[in-house]
Amino acid sequence: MRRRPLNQAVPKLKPSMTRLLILVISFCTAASVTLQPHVIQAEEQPPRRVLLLFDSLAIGTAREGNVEAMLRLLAVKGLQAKLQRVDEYREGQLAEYRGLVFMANNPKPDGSNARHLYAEDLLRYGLPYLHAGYDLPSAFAERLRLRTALSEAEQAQVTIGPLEGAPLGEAERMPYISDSQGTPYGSVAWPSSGKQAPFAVLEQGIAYAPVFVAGAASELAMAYMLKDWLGDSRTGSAHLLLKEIYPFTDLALLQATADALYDAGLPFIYSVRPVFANTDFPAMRRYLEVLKYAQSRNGTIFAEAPVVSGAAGIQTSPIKEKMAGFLNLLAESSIVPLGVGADAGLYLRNEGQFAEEGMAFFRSSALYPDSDAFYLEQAELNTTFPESMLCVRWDELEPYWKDRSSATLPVDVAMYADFFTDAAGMESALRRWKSDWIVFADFKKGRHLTRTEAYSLESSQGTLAINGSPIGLNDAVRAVSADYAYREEERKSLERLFTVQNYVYVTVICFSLIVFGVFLLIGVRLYRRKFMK
Amino acid sequence: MTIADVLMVIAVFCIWTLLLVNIVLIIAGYLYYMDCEATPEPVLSGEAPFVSIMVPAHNEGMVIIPTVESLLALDYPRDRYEIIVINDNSSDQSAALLASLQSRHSERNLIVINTDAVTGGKGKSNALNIGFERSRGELIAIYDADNTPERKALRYLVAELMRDEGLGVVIGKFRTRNRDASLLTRFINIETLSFQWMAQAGRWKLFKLCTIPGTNFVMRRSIVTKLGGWDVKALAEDTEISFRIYQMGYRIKFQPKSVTWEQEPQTVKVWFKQRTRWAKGNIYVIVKNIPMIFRRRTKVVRFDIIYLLSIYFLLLTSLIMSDILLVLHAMGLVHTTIAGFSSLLWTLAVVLFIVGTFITLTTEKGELSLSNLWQIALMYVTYCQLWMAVAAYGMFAYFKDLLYKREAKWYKTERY
Repeated sequence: MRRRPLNQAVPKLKPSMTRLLILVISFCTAASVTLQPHVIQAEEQPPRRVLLLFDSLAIGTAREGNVEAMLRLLAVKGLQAKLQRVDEYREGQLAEYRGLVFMANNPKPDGSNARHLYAEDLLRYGLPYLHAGYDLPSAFAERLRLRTALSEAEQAQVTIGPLEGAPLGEAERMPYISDSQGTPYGSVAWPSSGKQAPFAVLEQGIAYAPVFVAGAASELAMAYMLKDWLGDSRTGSAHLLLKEIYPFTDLALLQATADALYDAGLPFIYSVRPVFANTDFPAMRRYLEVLKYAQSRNGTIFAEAPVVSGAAGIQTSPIKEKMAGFLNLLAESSIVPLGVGADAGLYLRNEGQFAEEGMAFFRSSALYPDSDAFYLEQAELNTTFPESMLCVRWDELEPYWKDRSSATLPVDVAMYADFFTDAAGMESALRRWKSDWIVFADFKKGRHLTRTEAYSLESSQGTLAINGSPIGLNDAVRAVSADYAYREEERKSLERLFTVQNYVYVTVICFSLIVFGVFLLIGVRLYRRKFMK
Repeated sequence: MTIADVLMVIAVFCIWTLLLVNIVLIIAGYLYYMDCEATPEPVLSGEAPFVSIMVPAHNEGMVIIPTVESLLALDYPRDRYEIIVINDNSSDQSAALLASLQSRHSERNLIVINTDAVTGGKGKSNALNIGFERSRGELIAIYDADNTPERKALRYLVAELMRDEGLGVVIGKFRTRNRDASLLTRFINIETLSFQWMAQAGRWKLFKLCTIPGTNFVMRRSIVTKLGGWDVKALAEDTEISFRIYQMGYRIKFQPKSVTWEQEPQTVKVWFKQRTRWAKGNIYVIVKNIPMIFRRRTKVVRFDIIYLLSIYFLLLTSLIMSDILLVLHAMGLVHTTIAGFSSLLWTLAVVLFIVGTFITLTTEKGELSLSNLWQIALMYVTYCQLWMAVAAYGMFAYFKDLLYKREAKWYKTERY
């Protein structure tokens, strides 16, 4: 586009000069394009604030964990959300939000004062409203012309997008939509009773999902409805993510897996644990070399949030520096971490401002569901990730993922698995990945940004750049010398004296050993002559 | 440089200097061995001098009879030597056994002196003094109660002494009779041989010095008379009297052809007691004779005093100090910055120890074996390290006795 006017402006120049000028200008143009900072500006529009209320955590029921699942979904959608119990609602609170989600897990709600206040405000403010579980308030039910019934105590199965017949939680009696108007989302079936109903319905900002439970299928189904409820036009892709990767991981297997995935045409993400100490050790350098190699084999690197434990305590003050240090180290090794992987609980609890301190470098995240419920009663999501993925265990959804090439995903989905302990495990998984219907996308194709004070790390259209400069993907693993001074050499006193002494003693001892050797020969001869005749 | 650094430098200097001294001693000792091999056995000329053989014995019933019988069988004119057994305050059957033996050999010059807690029981020096009073030989020979001297042992000692007026004492060699009893006795066997061929033979070759070993030696009566007998306070009476003989201007010669076989401790406990007594006794001798270092008249024995001083004070304190510093350094309590020696040097030093010790074994029948080589290597990491504990405990006991003004207690080595 820019060359045309330039070409038109040079007919008076000699052809050779023209070619030279074109060459120079082309070079300058190319250079300016290349060097121009590729920084992705944050969405100018501030994230929408949503209030998430619940009446019960449904502990011990099929719905247990669905509050956390909903909070995680809201985080995946990049929303700022506040979680609180409905009993703690204060009058007028709804005015502070642009959306309301209510998790009605209690089939028999009480009539507390806070709940009455909430009910009155709900009618007054008229916010976009999402209701999950029992008893949609009558005003909304009427607008949806909703009729519900209770299922038998049987495990429900959801079909939506590429999923077909994926189980929803435990067998329990649940309300379902027997009739309504509005857009239905997916279908829920109870096979033995033959009942079938929409998973959710949405009509003019009012959404109702009676059977929302924790679990990959339910969360993905909910994501379809949330996308429209939020008016989000974006669609998503599936990404293959391997986690539990450390410097102590079998590096040869890490490299072989990258090669195997590359050969199979499967882009992948390695989510790697951060390292804060001894990063100059040869073992760490070798680890970095393999990560860089994986990146060159169509891989993307995610940095995981550091593990914090109750025993160790959360070290709030240095975590930002430590995490920045690790990201800088990756950048200096030409590795571009495009997102953060973290256990959702760590992020949602946000103890010691962990999200702000340890995760604010990223715009993209993968929040892994926690294996153990942590019964969160209140939370405030302030640090958001506009480019996040919904994380589901690959083997949880894979059996129900059917060939539906036309089905788009409502969000980016990270289908994750732990990294393999041996080559056999890797080969077995690879066979399944090759044969199933899930199409994995290259995360680098999207626009992602990670930023420390020193580095701006980004991707766009499959190109990785550090501080605006595209990086060359060098696929050779450089050998790292094991010759390393693990401890800094101390300044030694009397070094010269000891060096000289050392030399003298070695000489004397060597000389003595020669003499002793001669004595030994004589001694053996004498011994034989004297005692062995 | 910190204080720890200075201490470490001194310690390292002492340790390595002693190592070099020992190299010289091994070489000198081996040259002496070759001299001896080239020289015929000493021969007695003229009338054999009368020799009083003294055997101090305290509760030695288990071993005394074979010892006296072997002394009776010595290849020396029967009428030219007497055997004086000082049965010193024994509570076992020694007296009866000796009386029976005496009656069986009534024609021989066998004297048994039985003492009780009043007249004796004050240790080896006192027993020797008692025996000396009864002796009439112009030469005095001493054997421990567990010894089995070879038949010609006394003859070689006397012949050597009589042919050189400058010799005050001639000492023989002692071997381990119970070498194969345990690993400990194997170590002791290696230790005694290497000590004799390094320290005794080496010092004789270089300085014409030896230390009386406590058994299998012969000395002139005139010397004992002049010295006024043995020092009853000394636990290492042999080392103590050696120094006094040096001061008189006499030399002490090592004659390895005279051999006696003795029984060595078979358990670590007994060994530890015996060696602690030696260490304590040697420390007494060092302290008593330190002024000799500064006397011109006694310059010939300076090496011996400095050598003993180095081993018991400098080497011991150096080893303990370097070990303490090492531990404290590992615990982060002290910080040393001095440079160290290379691993090659340390390895060479250990190889040198093994080869040097093995060379001294090639002098003896039945000792040139691969198993001995392994035992020397094993000895380095076990037996030699125990020496440090022995010497340290000996020093502690010596200064404790000095502080509380306690008399040194003589304890007898247990027999088997």
